[in-house]
This record gives sequence, C-alpha cells and structure tokens, in this order.
Amino acid sequence: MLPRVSIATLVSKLANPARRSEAARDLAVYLGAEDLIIFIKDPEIDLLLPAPGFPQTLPAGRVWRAFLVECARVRHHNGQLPFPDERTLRTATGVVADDGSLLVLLGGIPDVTLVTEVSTLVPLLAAAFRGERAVAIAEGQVQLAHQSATQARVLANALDLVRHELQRALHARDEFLSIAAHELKTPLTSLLGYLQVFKRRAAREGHMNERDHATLLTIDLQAHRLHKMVNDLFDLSRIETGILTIERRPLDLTLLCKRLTDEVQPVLEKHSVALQADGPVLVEGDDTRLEQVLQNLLDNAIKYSPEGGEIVVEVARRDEHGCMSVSDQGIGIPEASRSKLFERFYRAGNVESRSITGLGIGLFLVHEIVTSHGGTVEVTSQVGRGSTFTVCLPLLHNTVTLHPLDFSASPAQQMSSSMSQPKPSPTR
Amino acid sequence: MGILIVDDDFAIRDSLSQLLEGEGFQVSSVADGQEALNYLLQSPERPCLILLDLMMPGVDGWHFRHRQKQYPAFASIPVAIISAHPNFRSQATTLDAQGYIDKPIDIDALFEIVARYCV
Repeated sequence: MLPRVSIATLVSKLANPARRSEAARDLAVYLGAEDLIIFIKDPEIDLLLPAPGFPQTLPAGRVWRAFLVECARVRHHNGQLPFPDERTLRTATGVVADDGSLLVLLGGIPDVTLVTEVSTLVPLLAAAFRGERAVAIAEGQVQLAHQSATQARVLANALDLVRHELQRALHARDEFLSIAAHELKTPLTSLLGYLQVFKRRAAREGHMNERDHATLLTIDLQAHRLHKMVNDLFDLSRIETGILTIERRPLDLTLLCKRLTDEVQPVLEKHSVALQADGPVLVEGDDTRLEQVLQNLLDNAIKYSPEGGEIVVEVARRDEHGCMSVSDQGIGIPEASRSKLFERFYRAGNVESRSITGLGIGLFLVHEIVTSHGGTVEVTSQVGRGSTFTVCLPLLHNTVTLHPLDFSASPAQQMSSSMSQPKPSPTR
Repeated sequence: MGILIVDDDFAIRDSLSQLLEGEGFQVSSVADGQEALNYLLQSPERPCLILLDLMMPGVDGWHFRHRQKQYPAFASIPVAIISAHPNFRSQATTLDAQGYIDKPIDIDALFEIVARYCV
C-alpha cells in the first residue's frame, strides 16, 4: 500500500489545469480504476457538468445523464457507462461529495475506502474548478464583449457610410430634380414665347387658314401639357428641398370650384362637369395651391375616364371640415393600388394596359399640399365604375376675430376677380 | 426709349423681342451682364425697363444688378427679373428689383410690368 501522503499529493496534482488529465489517470489507477472524471454543479443552471480539464463531451449523453441523476439520488452508485466512445462499456462508480460535486471512476474495481477518502477532498478541488470555470467564463465574456464592441464599431462605420451614401444620393436626386426642372424651363420659355408671337400675329393680321390654326392649337395644347409636367417636377423638387410655401388666406371652396369647373368645361369634348354646392364654404388656405389640387384631381378625372361621362365636383361641409370632392365614371383604381396612390412616382396597376401615361406626381402633390394645410385627402373607387377623391380642410372658425369687412371682402374680391379675369393666357 | 432684354439664351431673347416688338415696343437684347453694362455705357438712350435673367455665364444677373447700382446714371432704371431659378423670389432683398417673373413667362404679368414703365 502506498503511503497516505500520496493521496493528497495525487489529488493536489489535479489542481494544475495543464496536467489534469495525466493526474486524473494516476489517481484513478491509484484508486483501482482506469479513468476518472469529476463533475461540478454549474452555478447558473442546476446541472452537473464535467469540471474544466476533463472530457467535456461524453458519448451517449442520455445514459450518462441517467447515471448522474441516480448518483445524486443515492450518493453512491455503481453501474456501467460508455467511455471513451459509445461502444466501450465500462464499469462505473459514482460518489457524491458534500458540496454536491461528483466523482466518477471508470473501469477496474475501485477501492471503496480510498474512493470515500478521496471524495472528502473533492469539494476543495471543486471550489478551485468552479473558480477556473468562472475565470474562463469571465474571460469568454470579456472576449465576447470585445468582439461585440469591435463588431458594433464595424457596423456603426458601415451604417455611417450607408447613411452618408444615402444622403448623397438624396441630395443628388434633389439637385437633379431642381436642375432638370430649370433646364426644362428654358426651352419651354422660348417655345411658349414663340407660340404667343404666332397667335398674336395671326390675331393682328387676321388671316390664318383653318388647318394651320388647328395645328397651332395642338402645339399650344401639347406645350401646355409639357409646361404642367415641368411645373409638377418643379413642385416636387420644392417639396423635397422643403421650400414649397403655403400662403394662407380665407377663401371660399365653392368659389374656387366654380372658377375651375367653368374654365375646364368649354375645352372638354367627351365629358361634362357638374358642380354641386350649397353656398360658400370658407377655409383658410393658399388659393393658388388649392386650385392646383383641384386642377390635378380634375385632370385625373378626365384622363382616367377615357370613355367620357359626367364629372361631379361637390363642395360640402362635413363636421368641422370644408370638403371638395371630384367623382368620375372612369376606369377606377384597383384596391391593391389605393394605399400607394399618394406616393411619389406611383401609378395604379391598371393604367399601363390602357396606355394612359403620366409621371405619377400629381396625386403626391395633392397629398403634400393638402396635408400642409392640415387637411386630408381620401379616395373611394370601384374598378370599372369610377373614383371619388375627397379633400377636406379645417373650416375657417375664427370668423368673429376677423374684421367683418375683411371677411366679406375676401370671397367678394375673388368673385369680382374671377369675373373680370380674362381667359388664362396659354403661358399660365 | 426701349426695353433691354438680358438673357444668355438666344431663343428666349428672340421670342421675347418679337413678342414685345409685335406690341409696338422698341427692344434691344444682349447675352450677359457685361454686354448689358457695355450697352448702357454706349447707348445714347436709357431703356425704360431691363428684363434681367439671373443665371448667365460671366457677369450674371446678381452681379449685373450690383454693378448697375454703382452707376448713378443707370441705378434708377427699373429692372424686372425673369428667372427659372427655383427660389429667386426669396432673394428679393438682395436683388431689389421692380418686378419678378417666373419662367416660362406669364404674358399678362410681363405686359403688366412693361405697361407700368414703358409708355
């Protein structure tokens, strides 16, 4: 028999992580077995795990788990365990120490007295193992944290780069829109100018054959379509750069609708426009911009009812709002397209097949202008039956605080100006 | 007394000239601010109105306006800015002009300002 000091020496050797497997085998052989594994309780999850430096993966985990559970239950348990691979079954002895850690001896026939003696020393080792594990975990977490910090830095840099690129792209787009609108306006200015020269000359000289006259009208019409598109693009760039201004003054929606419906009716061939209104509806808004809103809605109503039909413009009060709506008997808007209808450059799904062209800016402008007035724009539609766009703006409330003359002057002024206003010249 | 058009685009100068001449006005036109200053220095007559573009190569509209005000003889000639510049109206204080007309030009607005300064 070896001197008793050997047990302490052999056990103490296990404390050295570098030579642990060697020391474990020496101790196992000393105890009459072939191999040895010490399990310690994981402090966070209530589970027995091989201590650091012992084999960390065990074959046929279920069999091992059942053995460990049984050991914990009866404190001293004999059985068979597969080790080091699934096919090699070896005798196994498990002894639970006072602190709940577990000594498992594999192979051979261990000396029970010696094993019990060693098991009293296991808690000391287990404390050291737990310390080791804690250090390893902490080191792992430090490393993880370091990795995370590095990754976060890399991600932040990448994000900065993306943001920078995005800002540059947005800036480039705004600049492009602004330059494009400006560059388009220059030739348009001379084109519309020359048109005026022709029209005025023809009017002065009083002769132009019918065909040339018709041609001139077509050129005029097309040039104005172009003008409107350029203006839309221009407004779009002003919205993007935040310089679209709204000048609010008291105005009568009924009057505005009447002015525009009167203007548009004479040039329509297939459509008729009806105005339904019941007296003045006063709101506070930018006359030019709201006229643009109605003009866009009317243009759309005409454009998207290629077969013609009646277009109804209705002005009404709804609760605290003054509303104007434009209804057509056109192709309608598929339900799937409705939620995106007010996005810039968006065009409904059913327009392409009908070869109805456009930039997809008009309704975006409508939406932007209306919302900057604190209003709403809504659409109801039935495919093949028609659409109704409704714009609602907060009613003018503080009529009491307004000077009575100002209040009465505003609609009347508009009335007189709309009456005395000549037909818009083609460059407008 | 005639109208002086200052614009680097030939077609704009030409169409505006024809348009105004058609209505009986006398019109001269130049392509930039330097030419405009030369014209003013050499011409025996002061124009009744200057239609001034802003974005021109060389001496641009802002620069011309600045120089014009330094010559007592020309400082008081009325100027109407004609521009497609996105927010030129916001620079009204700097430009200190008698009229502001967007391109493409609203003919009514043009004739209104012409009528105000040129008989």
